[in-house]
Amino acid sequence: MFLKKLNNLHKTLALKMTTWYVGVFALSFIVTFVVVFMLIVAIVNQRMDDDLEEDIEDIASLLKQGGFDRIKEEMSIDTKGDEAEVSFFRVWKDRKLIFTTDLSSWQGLEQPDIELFQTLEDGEPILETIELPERDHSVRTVYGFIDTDTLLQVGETLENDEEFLATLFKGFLFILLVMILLGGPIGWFLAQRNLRGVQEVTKTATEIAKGSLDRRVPVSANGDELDYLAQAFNSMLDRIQNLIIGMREMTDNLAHDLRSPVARIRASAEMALNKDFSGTDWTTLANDTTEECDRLLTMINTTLDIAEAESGAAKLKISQVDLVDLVVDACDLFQTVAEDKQISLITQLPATCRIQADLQRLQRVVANLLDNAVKYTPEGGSITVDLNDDEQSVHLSITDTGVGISSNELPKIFQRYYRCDSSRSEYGNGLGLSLAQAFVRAHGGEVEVESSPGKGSTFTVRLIRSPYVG
Amino acid sequence: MRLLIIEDDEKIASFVKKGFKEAGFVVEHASDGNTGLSMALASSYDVAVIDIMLPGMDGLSIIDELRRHRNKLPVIILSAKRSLDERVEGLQAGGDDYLTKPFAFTELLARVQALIRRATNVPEPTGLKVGDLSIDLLRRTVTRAGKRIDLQPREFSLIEYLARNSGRVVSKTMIMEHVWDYNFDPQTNVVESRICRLREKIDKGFGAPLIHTVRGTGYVLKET
Repeated sequence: MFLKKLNNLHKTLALKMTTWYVGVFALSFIVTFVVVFMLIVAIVNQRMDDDLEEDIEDIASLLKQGGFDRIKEEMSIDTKGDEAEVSFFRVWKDRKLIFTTDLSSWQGLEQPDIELFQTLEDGEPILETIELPERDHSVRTVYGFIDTDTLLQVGETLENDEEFLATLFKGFLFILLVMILLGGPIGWFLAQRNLRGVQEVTKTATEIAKGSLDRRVPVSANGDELDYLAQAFNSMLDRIQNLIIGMREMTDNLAHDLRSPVARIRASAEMALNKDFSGTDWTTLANDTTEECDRLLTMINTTLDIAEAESGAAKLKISQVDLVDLVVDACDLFQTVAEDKQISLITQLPATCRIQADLQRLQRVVANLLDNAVKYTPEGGSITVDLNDDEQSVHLSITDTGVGISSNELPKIFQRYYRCDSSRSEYGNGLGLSLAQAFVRAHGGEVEVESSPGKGSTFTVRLIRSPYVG
Repeated sequence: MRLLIIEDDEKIASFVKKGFKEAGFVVEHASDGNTGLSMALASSYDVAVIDIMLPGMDGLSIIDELRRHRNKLPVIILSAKRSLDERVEGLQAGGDDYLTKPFAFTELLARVQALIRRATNVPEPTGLKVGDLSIDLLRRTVTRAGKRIDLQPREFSLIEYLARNSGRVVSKTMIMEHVWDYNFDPQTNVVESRICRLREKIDKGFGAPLIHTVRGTGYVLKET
């Protein structure tokens, strides 16, 4: 178990995050250090060179003022005692060495060659870094003319500079080491803390995979990204759960509504096997079978129509449609059925109302809504069709004085195959409203419903004038 | 009338064949596309019923080949697909027609007859007569046994459609399509209710009824 955990450890996000955290931090520190260190080295070197060149200029001006003895005195003072180990001076006249300070600790100094003399005679002083066999540190030296024929060399040890830089370097290394040693555990701690939320989501997902779909990820009040993840995860679960519940209800209803016609067909066919089956019975059987098959076919086709509209697979045939004409025709279609039930069909329509839409699909939407209104309005009631429009949208509402829908059934009426308790006795397949909604939504619109049981319902279709065609 | 069926499903073919024979057609049958095409090109038929999915050559290609040979044989395509592609829907514009499976034979028969009527260019009548019922298409008036019957415009369209197909059964779907221009049949039986009204006006008080219900299929206007 422990070995397995250890083996999995190198794969965990926490370890990766820690490694990255420490690595990136160390790398940026090293880059910063290298840049700063190089700048310091440049400054230190520049200062040394400036000092040496200044020495040449100072001695040149002393030579003018006080002559050769004056500068000899000056150089001797500069290299007195311990200072003899820090710097030295050499002077040539007409390319011949005529004076040096104490060179006992500067063994191995070479004579400048002729080329150097020639280069120097042309102009600027020359700076050099030289290594001496008996010295641990490099020596920086400058050659420069202090008179037309007099050449001066000033040399100084780089011991102080090099020791300073070495100390600086060691300091940086130390900090880097401390950082890596401390950064690991700190990074690990931070990563673990941040990933705890992810682990919660994983835990919940695993539990859901085992079957408990009602589980939810706990959401803390931090308002951080992990909370958003948890919230998104939870709302996804809500949607899935609703879909599954809806699907379960749909399959239950579908099973009932599709099986009933099949059961009836089967029953009557079985009856035909009976010996007493007569000629007229055969006609009835054939008629019943045809009717039941047609009913089944209509249900299957409507279900497919809904599925196509909902998935966006059905292409709308958009054209200019006058909703007033459409509503007038639809009302005409239901006029006699309404009259048979003594229902008055009242329309309140503008002169014209043109929108871009799929005529055949809207015909079915309006017909389905009128169909329901006529079906569920008792004798003597009334149905009012109201059409309002503004620049962007169109509102078509169909109000009936029917049985109404109870508030707990209201959210379910648009579900496929859902049938309210009060509608079970009426002829229908529970698809009319789903189809209407699917078609209206395919137009980018919406079907809304308001209802009070016993008083009646209002279905409102909202359409935009120029729908997007997906 | 000679009719050619190109259909590979033997059961449907024999069912259609039987129906058309009973309706007085001479029927020939091919069970694959290539045979069907050569039969259609070799002899002259009045109409063809062609399945869209066929072994050898599909229904639409047969029509294309026929038209390429300047053969104007009117065709009804049978399609098992619910969603029709534009080419199939375009058939109506070209003088042909389509029907989706499963279909009612009466509907196929009515469509075939309509197609033949269109193809033979029968001059548009000015009036229709079924028994003692006469319809004046110009004045849009209806009389039965010399008695004027008042009809609403939609009722007139309905009786006109029934009279144009007199003796033939028309389905509710066909009525919805031709009288209301709806390509579906609402759940509530609006057609039945209309027919009921029409019966009140046309059959009530006159001798034998003219409008008959054919259970499970539709309605027919005929003398008994």
